[in-house]
Amino acid sequence: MADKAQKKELKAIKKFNAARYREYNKTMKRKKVPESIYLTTMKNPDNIIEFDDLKTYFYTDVGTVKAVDGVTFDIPKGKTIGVVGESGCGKSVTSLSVMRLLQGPQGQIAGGQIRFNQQSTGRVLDLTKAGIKEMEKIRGNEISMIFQEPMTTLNPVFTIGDQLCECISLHNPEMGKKAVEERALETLKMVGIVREGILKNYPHELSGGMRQRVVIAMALSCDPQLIIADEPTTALDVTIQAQILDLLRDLKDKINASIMLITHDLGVVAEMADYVVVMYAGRIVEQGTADDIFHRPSHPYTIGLMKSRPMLNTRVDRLYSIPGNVPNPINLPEHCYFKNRCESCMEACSGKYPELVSLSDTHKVSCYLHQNKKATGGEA
Amino acid sequence: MAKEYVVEVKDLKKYFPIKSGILQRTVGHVRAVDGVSINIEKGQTFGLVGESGCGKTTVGRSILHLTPPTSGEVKISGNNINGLKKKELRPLRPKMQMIFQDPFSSLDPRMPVGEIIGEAVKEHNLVPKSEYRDYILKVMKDCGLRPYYIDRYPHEFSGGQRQRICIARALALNPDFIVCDEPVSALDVSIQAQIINLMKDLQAERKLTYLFISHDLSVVEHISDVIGVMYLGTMMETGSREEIFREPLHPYTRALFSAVPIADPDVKMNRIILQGDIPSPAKPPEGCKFHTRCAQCMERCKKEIPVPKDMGNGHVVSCHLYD
Repeated sequence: MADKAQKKELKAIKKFNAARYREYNKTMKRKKVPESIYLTTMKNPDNIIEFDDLKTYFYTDVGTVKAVDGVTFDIPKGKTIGVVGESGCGKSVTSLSVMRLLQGPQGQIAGGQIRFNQQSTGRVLDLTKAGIKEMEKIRGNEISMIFQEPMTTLNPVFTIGDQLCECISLHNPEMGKKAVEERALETLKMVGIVREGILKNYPHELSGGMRQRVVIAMALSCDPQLIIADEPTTALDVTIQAQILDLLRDLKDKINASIMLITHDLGVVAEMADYVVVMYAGRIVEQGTADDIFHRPSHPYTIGLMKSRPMLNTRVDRLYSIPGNVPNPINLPEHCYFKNRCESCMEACSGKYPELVSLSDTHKVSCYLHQNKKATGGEA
Repeated sequence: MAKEYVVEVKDLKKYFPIKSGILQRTVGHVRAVDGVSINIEKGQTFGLVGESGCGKTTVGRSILHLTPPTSGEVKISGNNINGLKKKELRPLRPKMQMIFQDPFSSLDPRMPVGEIIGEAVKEHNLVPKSEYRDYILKVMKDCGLRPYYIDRYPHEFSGGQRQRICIARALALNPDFIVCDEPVSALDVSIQAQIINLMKDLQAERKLTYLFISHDLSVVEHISDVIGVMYLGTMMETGSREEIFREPLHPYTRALFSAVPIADPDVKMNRIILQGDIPSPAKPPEGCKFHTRCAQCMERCKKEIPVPKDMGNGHVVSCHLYD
């Protein structure tokens, strides 16, 4: 009998998914998207991008995976924001949602807004609704991305020059071949590669650190307003990581861009970020300035993360470890997702998911431990 | 005051030939490991750190003769294992085990967990057949795996649990010495702590000796008693954990330590940023191998190879600065 019920359930999921896919394909086929659909206004004109209740779901054969479920945060102009969390917590999916690079039709933005302050035209776009044409203009030009693996990001059969020039000439069709090449060399110089004939080199001829520099050069080549760095140093050694972080910090000031830094390394975040967002199972559990998060961590998960990392020059006999594992992303419970792993779990935790509460102007946490202090809800 | 060493390695060298042309003639050698000596006392952990490509993994593999070393002497629990044939090595194998880096690719996807852990136990006839299942269950329990996992397959487990299976597989043979090759680098921070704690508990319980290979300095500091810093196949500095972290002597060690990001936004360190990349081990620089990136490079560093020098308390450094 159980088998029959299971089959029925799977069938229902399939039907539900098919409807989602149809909807998705219809929106993808639109030739022209009227501006009225995607033009909005910024809540705060000093922000470069605002995430408002973003929901990104994956409709899989075994159920809906809510990879990002109601994420709200802003990135102010010229600041660095660090997004921290374990693997599978939805940090990469958040960044892919901005670029609209999700694998459709399974992966879709199911709700919410991503408001982008486009400086070249002075318009504000909702990236979740913008058409493909509009997105193509933004990708790589105004928002660019640095991916995790420098080994796999670059195409092995094209030279560095081909790949770098392609990006520049695509976004600046009026530039001649000579000018494009000059620009490419200029950006390479900016990231610290001065080497004869670098444009004629293939990726395999460069080391990991050099390749990551090329990837960064590619991201910078069109003077973006926002750089999304998805684990830019995870695949690199500490000494090379120090070089790259140093470089990113310098460049950010030079071209006055904002950085959204996605990483699981709290050390990297502490060094780079002005604001920090801590994610767990697709939701924000805590956000605030770097000072808030590192000196007054309030969510048990954040505290656990800090304690579980061994630190140089501080000796402990046993590391603190958060018990258990990340919950299964399909059919997440109604209550706080961290409940089963939490040490300070209370009765209230079995209730509905706790809302974000403001502890100060900048510091917000989603936990019942702090719920009674000031109940202002998600927005503050 | 003779110390009891479980592992004694003397002047270990491993060269990989570079072949080219139609005749596949050897045109040069990659000097992955170039004269490394390590002694590890019973029940201690030796932490081996260095950048990728410096030969840490090759050291581990050559000690276990998984890749036979080119030259050098390896003694494990007093047995000289140099030049032994595969057959002769076999009875010694249970005493030396390895935990691999990536728990996703080091487990056979077609074998249930019980068999993965027990395969070698059966091969070596360590326990009678009647006790076999109980034995496996006991090992699994020691590693924090539930008994009903025994018939499951690796794909049903998360990264942390897989690494526990890998540890159980190594422990099942009751080894004296385990080479741990980056056992936690593929895991999340919160899971990392669980695995490190498990490894420490097991070490205390069974008096295990570890060679812990990692590029993560904070993990190495946490788990090791003695630390060795490698660069381009040679040991730059060795010493007890306290000595090395209190006073790193070699310029490379200093640069390496200062490159570690600290999870505190107020600490702004004077970072030593090394310029450039690690040179190719196929043609390492002459003299001191580090001189191309060293801030305190002198004339003689470019010509003379520095000899390891004992600075007291077993703190050994290879650098001309301390001659």
